Amino acid sequence: MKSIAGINHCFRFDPAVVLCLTMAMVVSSARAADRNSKQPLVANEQMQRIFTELVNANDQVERERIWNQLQQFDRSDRQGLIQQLALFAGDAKGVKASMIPGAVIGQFKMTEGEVIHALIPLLETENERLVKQTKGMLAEFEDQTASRPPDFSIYREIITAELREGREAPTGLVKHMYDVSPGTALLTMMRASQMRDPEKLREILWAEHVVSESDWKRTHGFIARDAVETQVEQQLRQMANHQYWWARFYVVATMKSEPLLKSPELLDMLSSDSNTVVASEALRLRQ
Amino acid sequence: MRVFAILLVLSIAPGFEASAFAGDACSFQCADFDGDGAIGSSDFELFADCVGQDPLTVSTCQCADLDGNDAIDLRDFALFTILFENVSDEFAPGCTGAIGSTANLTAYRPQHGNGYSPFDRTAVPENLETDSLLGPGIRMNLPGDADLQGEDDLIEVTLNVHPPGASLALRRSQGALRVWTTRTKSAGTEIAFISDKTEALPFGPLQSAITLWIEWSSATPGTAVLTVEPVGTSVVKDEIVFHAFESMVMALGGEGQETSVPVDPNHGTFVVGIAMYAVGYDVHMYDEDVVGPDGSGVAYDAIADAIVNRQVDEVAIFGYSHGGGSTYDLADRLDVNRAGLGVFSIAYTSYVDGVGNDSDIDTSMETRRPPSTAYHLNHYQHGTLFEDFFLDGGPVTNSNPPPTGLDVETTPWGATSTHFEVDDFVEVRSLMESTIENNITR
Repeated sequence: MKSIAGINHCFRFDPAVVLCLTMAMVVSSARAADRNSKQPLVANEQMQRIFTELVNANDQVERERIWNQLQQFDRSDRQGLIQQLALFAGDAKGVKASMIPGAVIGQFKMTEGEVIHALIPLLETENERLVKQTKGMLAEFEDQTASRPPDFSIYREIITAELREGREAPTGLVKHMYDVSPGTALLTMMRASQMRDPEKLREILWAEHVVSESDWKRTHGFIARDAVETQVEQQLRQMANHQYWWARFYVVATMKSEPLLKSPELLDMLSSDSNTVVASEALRLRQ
Repeated sequence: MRVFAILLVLSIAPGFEASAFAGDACSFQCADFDGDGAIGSSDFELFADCVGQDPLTVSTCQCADLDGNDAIDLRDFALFTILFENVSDEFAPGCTGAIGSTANLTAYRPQHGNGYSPFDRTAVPENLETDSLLGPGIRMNLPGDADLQGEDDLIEVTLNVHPPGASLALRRSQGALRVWTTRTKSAGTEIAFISDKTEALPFGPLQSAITLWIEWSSATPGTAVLTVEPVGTSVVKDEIVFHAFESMVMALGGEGQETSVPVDPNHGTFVVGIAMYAVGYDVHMYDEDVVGPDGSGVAYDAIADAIVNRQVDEVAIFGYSHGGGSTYDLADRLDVNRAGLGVFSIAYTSYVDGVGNDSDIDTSMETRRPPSTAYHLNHYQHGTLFEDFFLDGGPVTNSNPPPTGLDVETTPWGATSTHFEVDDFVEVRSLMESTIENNITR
């Protein structure tokens, strides 16, 4: 049904029937698999070829022609275009090829929500270059700077919505947040999970506060760069035994982010966690 | 023919006024009367002036009495002809005609990790070996150094000798220099110094080359000389002057520009990095992806380690396109975290068409001056959709050339520039190189 809509869209904006039929086929094949599932993203050969042509085009007329083709793709399947751009850039060499996603997303006025929703499923593929590229693209919406923690509020809305619907939080997105900032990720998950008990909230808030404050003291020279404070170890131990998997995952993510805090004992324990995300990451970090 | 010429000169030499030998002590090797390390025609002229003179009364001819028989005669001449265009490790009056050894030290530019990548293994040219700026630089290697890529702070030096198995030793000008036969300082591989001189180096009987690894183990910066000489004398066979690094230079390529050996000539940032490496700086080159949007990552960790553990107190950072944005992010993190790092200055930064690097899809101009930089160089051009997807840098307040940097499209050579070639102009690279030289000590 969506591919038919794509054809109508083509006729409305472009009289080139051949191109439209081609694009309809592209849309159809790209949607054969659910892009929100954990299926690997399949390269759309025609889109990939057009990106390559854009990189190699030698004159302005040629580039303009290719750009118009991209606009047609965008009108018929924006999500697919974003995902194919990520796939292309993940393997790109050189500035021109690597900057095409940014140029297309910017010039086509794609919204934050559109881009994020298209990218989240890609965090769960096994294509490491694609995952790296996706994380690099998502950073655009995280407001990362040296002077304050990142902002995951848009992710929180997405995760909250999933949890309210009784679904699991997108694992790839959760892992991504913990990669970027374990503390901010912990607080984001705490809010997204709609916890209401003040005692339980304070337990998590305090753990995050103690660990991040110690990191702050280490960073700014109030304690030695290799100092590990006892209260930090205590809080990590407490979180390692928490009822929620994302709190236990915080322990693994924190130890990954700051190797000084690695505890073989806690990693051993978490390696056999009931949650596979926690267990697999703990096992990987322990090795 | 040569001997004939020497005899001819000798036949007319007696009676010439002897005047060439300065001082009483024979401080140079046998027959090397002028002390230039070689025995040649200039030495013969000095020798000829003394033939027939009494070395006991003509003090300036004392060293021409090679065999010490109190006469400057045909026996000395015979020794001279043996040594002509050779070298001696002996001194008058104890010359026997034994041919001395030769030695050549070759130092290399700094290692990176388990080798030299992203640089070629680069020998310091002979003519720069004793230059305290352009010669070999060496990182201080102090306790606490995190060695993020493994032990790579030692400098490789090869020593070639002739004849094979020659008995030679090393002398150092100060105890900061330590010498190892392994690059990772394996136990039992240090070559010991006693009063700043070693015993005979471990050459086998037929061995003509060994590789040594030099460490700067002191927390005091400066220069130090490493000399190779005979075990029993102080005749300098070759020498190298090391300068301890007090600065660090970071080069950040654009998005998708990875370092490579050999360098891609279209990656101008890395071409500049290699040029600075070749003139004695401690240069580190990265794909800009190693700098996160918050400035964290491998590049930051390397600088922090250098400041905290290796006495580095000057930092230079430059980058192209997203590498410009990462230059800002890295400088910002260093500035934010100063209290925990120690005293240092961000003495130099540079953007070439800097693009903000909040993410891989950030296409905004990077027009913020890197926090706390002492000197900022800025090159930019103007993007268009179909030339370069609107990618461009822009004017940066209080940068160089004043007041906001150079719009290369206002120059004859850069008038038609696009984002994808602006980093490759020789004019851009040359200005970067000269301004680094002017603003960064080594």
